[in-house]
Amino acid sequence: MTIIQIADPAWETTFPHRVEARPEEWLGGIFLRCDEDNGWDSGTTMTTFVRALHLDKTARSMSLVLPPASMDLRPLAGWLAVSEQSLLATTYRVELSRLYETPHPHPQLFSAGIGVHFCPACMAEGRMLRRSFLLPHVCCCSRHQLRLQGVCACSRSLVPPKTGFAILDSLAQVSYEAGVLQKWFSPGSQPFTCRACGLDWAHFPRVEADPKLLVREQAILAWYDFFFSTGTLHALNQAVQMVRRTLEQRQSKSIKVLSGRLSQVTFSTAEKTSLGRLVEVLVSLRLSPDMIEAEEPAVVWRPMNRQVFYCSLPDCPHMRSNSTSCEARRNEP
Amino acid sequence: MTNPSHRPPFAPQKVFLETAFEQRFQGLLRHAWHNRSWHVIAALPGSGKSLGIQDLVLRSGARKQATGITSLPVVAIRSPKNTTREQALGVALCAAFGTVPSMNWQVRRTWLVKAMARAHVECIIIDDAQDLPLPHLAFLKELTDNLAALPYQRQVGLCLVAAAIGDLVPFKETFAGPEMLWRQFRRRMDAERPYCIIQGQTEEEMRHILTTFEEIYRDQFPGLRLHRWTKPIFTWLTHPTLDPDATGRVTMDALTRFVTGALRRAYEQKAMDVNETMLEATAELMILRRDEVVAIDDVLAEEFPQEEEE
Repeated sequence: MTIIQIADPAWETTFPHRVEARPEEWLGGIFLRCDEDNGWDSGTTMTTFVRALHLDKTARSMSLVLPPASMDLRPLAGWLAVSEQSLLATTYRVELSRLYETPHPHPQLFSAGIGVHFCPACMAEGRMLRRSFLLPHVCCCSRHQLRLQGVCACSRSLVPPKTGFAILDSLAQVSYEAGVLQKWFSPGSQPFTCRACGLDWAHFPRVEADPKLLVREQAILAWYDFFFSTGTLHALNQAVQMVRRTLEQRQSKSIKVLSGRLSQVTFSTAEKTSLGRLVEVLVSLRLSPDMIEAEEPAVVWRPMNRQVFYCSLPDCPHMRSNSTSCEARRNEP
Repeated sequence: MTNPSHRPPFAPQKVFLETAFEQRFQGLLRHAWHNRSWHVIAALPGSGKSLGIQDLVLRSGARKQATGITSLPVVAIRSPKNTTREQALGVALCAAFGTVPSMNWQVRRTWLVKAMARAHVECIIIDDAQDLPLPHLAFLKELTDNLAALPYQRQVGLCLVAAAIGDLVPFKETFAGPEMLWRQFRRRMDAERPYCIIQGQTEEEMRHILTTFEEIYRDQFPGLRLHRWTKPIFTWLTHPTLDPDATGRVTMDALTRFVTGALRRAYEQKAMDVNETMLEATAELMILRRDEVVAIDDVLAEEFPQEEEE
């Protein structure tokens, strides 16, 4: 529904200002854009949504990456007069459901990041929060080749108040120097701003990503793309098997993962394997999706432009024995 | 041609007629909208004020786009009843924008100003304004003042549409009071036409309406010629019972009820047009037996559409 006229009953059931999902946008971004367009505090739409569904406070941003069965998106679809499908497309529920062959995959199967990661350039261009920013191990914006941000440096220039206890004072100092960790939804703040100083996320520093990091990021995204676009449980199984074979060949159970530390790799079954963890191991082992695709059996094919058959009679008047064409004998002199 | 013996039940038509009254009334509303002027507009109860406001809002170009752009040039609400709290008016104004999350009153009153500016509100119409208490009027002044101030700088028209009794216009005496609020209100009122009474239909105007009714009911009454009865209908509808203030004008509500009643009567008698007897009977019911108490000792027979048998 592109435009709602005042004569339409939907006028009363929709928010004053509507937003619609954009390709590759994350659901959390839609909540925040809805807050911003309507002039509400950060998290107002989210709070209204949680209340409407009678959800408890555990329904946090994680649920917006992979909404559980209890998170019915229909109220939000009604308030914005958009289709429920368009909202579902801003999560990974459909992709994960297909991949794990279950209607409601468990959030732990994804192990998506719940921390705030946004690209300042994407923010400036149209408040775009890509759902790919929520994928585990993704830390760059592939479009702008910038590091994703999530911490405001506003507290670094401040001196924490003294408590008189050395330990507490030093902890406060460390906390101030670490900066202010951003939250997706901060009641009392404007959407898309630092909850402490109010700095717009679009004005956060734009740090260029290291080329090596970008290469690694491409490898990570290639795996996600493979699993989300064509993946099934079979593909997941194949990936797990490939990891096992590679580890057997290397005669090792531990590998150096993306964070740089050594980690022991143990996968039980594909159904219980976290996608984030699997992708981390696959990239750490320098495996790529085409290795799985190469293992796929070739599809049987046959021409369909002409009916071809053999005749079993040795003296067939129409065809030569074992010929594939009935025209063969006709054309004989 | 309709066959009277197989006619479906009588169907009263609900349409908005742009009568002479509506032209006068909507003309003033449009004047306020386009000139951002303030008026108190009064008319007799049943004149068609609410329908006129609704029609104006429907044609005001209000729309919500999926891109976040919303336009609501004319905000029209009915005055909240049985409460003097300003929150009630604020909630009613918020509801004109659609669904708004619950928020405390201080946040809401700030949000409302912002929302009105963002939706390009140009005119506020309060229907049934005779019920507006002092806190509501004070809130309206505050709201419009905030819109007129920085950063919005939006002048907004205001129409307080009220039911009038005789020549008395609500708020005229109130706004003449010495208190600062009323002086400020008076200063904002339109210089030329601050208080207006919109007159009802004259006999000639009523004739046009009757002709229009003939067209509207043509399907059910192919031979209907209501306009022939303009004179007696006008006389009946300006009877002191229906026109206690002796305005000599007819309200749309009275006229519609009269025509519908007469047509229903004609329909029950399988007639193709109304006659003098039917009109007199209807007039008698509306004038002489208007306040008659009817003892109900039986189940009222309702007319439902009959399903056609194959």
